[in-house]
Amino acid sequence: MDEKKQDEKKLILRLVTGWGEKADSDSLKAIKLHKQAVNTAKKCENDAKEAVTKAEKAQIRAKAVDIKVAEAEALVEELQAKVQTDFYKIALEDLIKKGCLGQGKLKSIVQLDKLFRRRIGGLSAISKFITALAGIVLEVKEKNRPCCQINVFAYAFLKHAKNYHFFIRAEKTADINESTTKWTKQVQELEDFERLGTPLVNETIREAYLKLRAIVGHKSARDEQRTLACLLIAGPSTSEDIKEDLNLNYPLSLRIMAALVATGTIDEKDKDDEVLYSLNKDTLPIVLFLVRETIGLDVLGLMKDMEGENQ
Amino acid sequence: MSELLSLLANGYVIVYVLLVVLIQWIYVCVQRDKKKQIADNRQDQGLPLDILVNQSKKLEDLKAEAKSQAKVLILPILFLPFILSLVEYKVNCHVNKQISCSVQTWVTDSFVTKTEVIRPSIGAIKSSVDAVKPPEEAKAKYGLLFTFLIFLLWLLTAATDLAKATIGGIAFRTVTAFANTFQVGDRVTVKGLSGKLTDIGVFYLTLVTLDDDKICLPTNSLWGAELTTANDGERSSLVVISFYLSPTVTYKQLGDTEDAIWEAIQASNYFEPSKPKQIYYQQQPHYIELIAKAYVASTYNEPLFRSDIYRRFFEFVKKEDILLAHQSHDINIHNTERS
Repeated sequence: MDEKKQDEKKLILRLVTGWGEKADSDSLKAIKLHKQAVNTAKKCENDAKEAVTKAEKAQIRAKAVDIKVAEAEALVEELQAKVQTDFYKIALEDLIKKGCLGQGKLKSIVQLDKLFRRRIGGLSAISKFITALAGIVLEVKEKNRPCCQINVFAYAFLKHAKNYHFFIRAEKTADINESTTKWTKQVQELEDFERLGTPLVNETIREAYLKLRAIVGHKSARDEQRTLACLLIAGPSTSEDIKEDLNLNYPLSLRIMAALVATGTIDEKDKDDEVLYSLNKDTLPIVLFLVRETIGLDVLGLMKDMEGENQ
Repeated sequence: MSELLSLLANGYVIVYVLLVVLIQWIYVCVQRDKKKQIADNRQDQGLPLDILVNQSKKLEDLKAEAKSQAKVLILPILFLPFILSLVEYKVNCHVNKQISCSVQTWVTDSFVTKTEVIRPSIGAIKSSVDAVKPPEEAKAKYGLLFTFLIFLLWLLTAATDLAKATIGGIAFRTVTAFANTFQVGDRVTVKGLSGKLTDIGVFYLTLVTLDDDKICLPTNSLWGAELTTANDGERSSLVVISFYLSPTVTYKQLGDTEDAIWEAIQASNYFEPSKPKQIYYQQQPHYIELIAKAYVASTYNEPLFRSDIYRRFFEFVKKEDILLAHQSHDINIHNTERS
């Protein structure tokens, strides 16, 4: 009973297998909300700091003429306290309210995984957003809370690396269980194919596997392996994103991405003058298997720990 | 010598030796065919020679193979003498019965009328037959025992990896094979030497270091040695990394550096998120030490994991102008010299 009550106080995240392609028109994108909230918060913070500076100047003047010094000091203190306010949370709350929160109409916030990059400072955006969101949505009734969606791989990583399950309740959909079973089976088939030469039923998978294996199976293919892991956990990324995540000094597009795209396991899509790379859903088990065997990161293994999550 | 040879020149001993050899030969052939079949299948599927699976999978295969190899060798050597002795005993019983029956029939048929006279003679014949039997039985039994001992000696000196474990470097190998303390493929530290364990032989334990140096350590010298394994047959292993900051860094810089180290660890693609991670502080006379403990997903990627974290750490301290220990120490020395 206590556990149930505790669960009610947690933010609910719905786990999805894709990377937000199915986002409908009613949904709000996490990254847009975050950017707007950051900008608004920055503006508010600057205004507050400006107000403090003005008040401090007024305080100096008041001291010089010895009139209303106490009032000026109080004002400075009040404004200084205001600077400490969590403007981000306020801004985010405003944005979500505009988007229907608390009006009885349920909307969803999708693609939370896009807020997260694996680099120094790259985890702060999602942490900030989720912490603020958790505070906001808990103030409203459970039925009016927006439904938040995150990719299952990103959540699996965040759960283990950042203990997100302490303040988040993850909801697994039937689709997740079905997909996990399917991926596990396909990964096992790939393992049997690799170890024992057991033929694969799907010829497309076999060809794609052999092509990708020829690249990432090479002992010096460090960046290629890491690129796959990066796309698997952080989701669709631009060449610049991957370069930043992997802390590389050279552009990836020609050296690595072209070769990986040619294998058919990675899709490229033009978006806002940039090319967005993402894992092909049909050949995803190949990447899951090769990342496990080369880098050692067993994403399906991480997901096994989530078997206790609610459905 | 001739007695020894006469002990070995025995049908049961020959059957014993042949069966042991035959079972080994069949096992080797089956294994070879199996491996060849796998290699052919892989080739047909367009796969290259090397198998791209993590070491933990290879270790499972190696362990299973070593166990079945040991069973196939040890079980026939141990149990065949008992089975053959039992067979020999049954056969002898059968033969004895037949001899007794035929002697009795012959005596009854030929001298039925002189029963009273001849009965002691029948007893004498019977006892003479019994007197002849024991040396024959003993021959078979001693022959089997002697061959068993030869096999045992061979097992202990030259047979399978697992069997070798029973002498010399034996117990060591037994412990390693059965107690899961240590196994081929692990990243280990023995006598201050670290590397990947490639073989545990009777005489030597072989390591390959990060610099690709091959080190052979005499097995008999390892009894008192401390054995450390980094991954214990698992895919992941713990990595301990130290960072040295100047004692002059501010409290905020210290906190920011700790956060940056956390994020550098989590940002690395080699990081194993399902295992615990920690950061400790340590005060030293000339520096502040931050010790990070985290797991690398694949133990062989440890150098890459370290490099990834250090690189991000150096980038951060450079960007934030945070003094590292040696820098501040040098500066202090310079300042002292100038003054």
